[in-house]
Amino acid sequence: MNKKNIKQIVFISYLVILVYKYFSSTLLSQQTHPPLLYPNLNILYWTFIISDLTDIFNYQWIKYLLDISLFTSCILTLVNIKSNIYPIIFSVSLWFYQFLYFSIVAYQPFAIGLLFPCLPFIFKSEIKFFITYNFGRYFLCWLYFFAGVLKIINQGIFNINQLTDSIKVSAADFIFYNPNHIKTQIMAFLIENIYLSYSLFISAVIIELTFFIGFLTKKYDLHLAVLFLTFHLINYQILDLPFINHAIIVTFFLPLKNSLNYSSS
Amino acid sequence: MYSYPIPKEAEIIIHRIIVNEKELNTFQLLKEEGDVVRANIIRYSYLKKNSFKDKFHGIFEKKISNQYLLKINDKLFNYKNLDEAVFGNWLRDYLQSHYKHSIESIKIYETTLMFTKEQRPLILKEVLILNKKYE
Repeated sequence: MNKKNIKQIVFISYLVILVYKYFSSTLLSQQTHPPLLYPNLNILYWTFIISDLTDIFNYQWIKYLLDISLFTSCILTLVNIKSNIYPIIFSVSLWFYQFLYFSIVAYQPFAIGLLFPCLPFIFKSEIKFFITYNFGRYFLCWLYFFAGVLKIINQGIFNINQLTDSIKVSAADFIFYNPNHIKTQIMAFLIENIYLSYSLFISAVIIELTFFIGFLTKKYDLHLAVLFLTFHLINYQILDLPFINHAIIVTFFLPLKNSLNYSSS
Repeated sequence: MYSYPIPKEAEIIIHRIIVNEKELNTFQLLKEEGDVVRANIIRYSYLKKNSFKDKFHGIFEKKISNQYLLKINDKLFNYKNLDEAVFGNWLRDYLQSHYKHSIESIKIYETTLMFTKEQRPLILKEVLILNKKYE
């Protein structure tokens, strides 16, 4: 695949997410800003609060402007595929959107994947695009490999009840309110069968550690992409963790053809 | 998935929302709308128990003496303008705009659960953390 093909896939995926956000009522213009702040963990978000940007973006017309900017710049990127101006506008709008959305949802969900796949396209230079795209790919491998390593360092992997406890703590409200749901029945089954759920937890850690292969070769990127989607689908089933926003980061595993003309760059 | 073992003494806590005297199942909302409601209630519940100050407020307050940094610390972690009325009004407006129902009352309980031998959730105790009536 060349840069153009990947750009089309990435921005069509963004458009799908934006439409999903519209129907989920989670665009900024569809939200009323809560009075709570949750600046923990995210130092970049501090700048939003200190500089009063969160207040400025509370004006309804600014929220509309940002939402329109997201949609139009995404569509114009697809229409004018060679331009890097629209990806720049899109990336700026998206980063503002995402940090403001973090402030609305009052916690930092694992949805950072949304922020990165647009970034390589802000560069017109082929070499800068190539470097950024590959950096994104290595970042994705590191993210999952490190998550696996953390489960060893923090000793979660040595706890036989790790998955059953995680389900009880993370999905208790889902279980409470949806006793007859198929997901609840899967969760209850796993809580009851500790050894099975522990095996599942070990498998999840192995999947995460497998992303180390991505540092050594690009040959198995398609397999890693399948593992990524499997991992998150299972997480969604047993822990009710959504991943629609985050899933776009998997586009870093698309096979980019190295078509750099080094003599002219 | 958690990377560290969850302490055995950790309580399993959920929040029950009663709107117009009827239990509200936020999982019947669209996924992300429900997340916004639940996450903000969890945050409100935490802040109410801590006099509307984040845990970082105390940590930084002890370590910094510069006036300017203290102001930033206040702005980030001390929520002086927040109380039950402010949060309740936001929640009412939010739910009204997404439900299209007129809301006359909201109650929120912080509920501690345990799992029975059959893995059914059972209510152990409840604390009322928000009780608002609207005309």
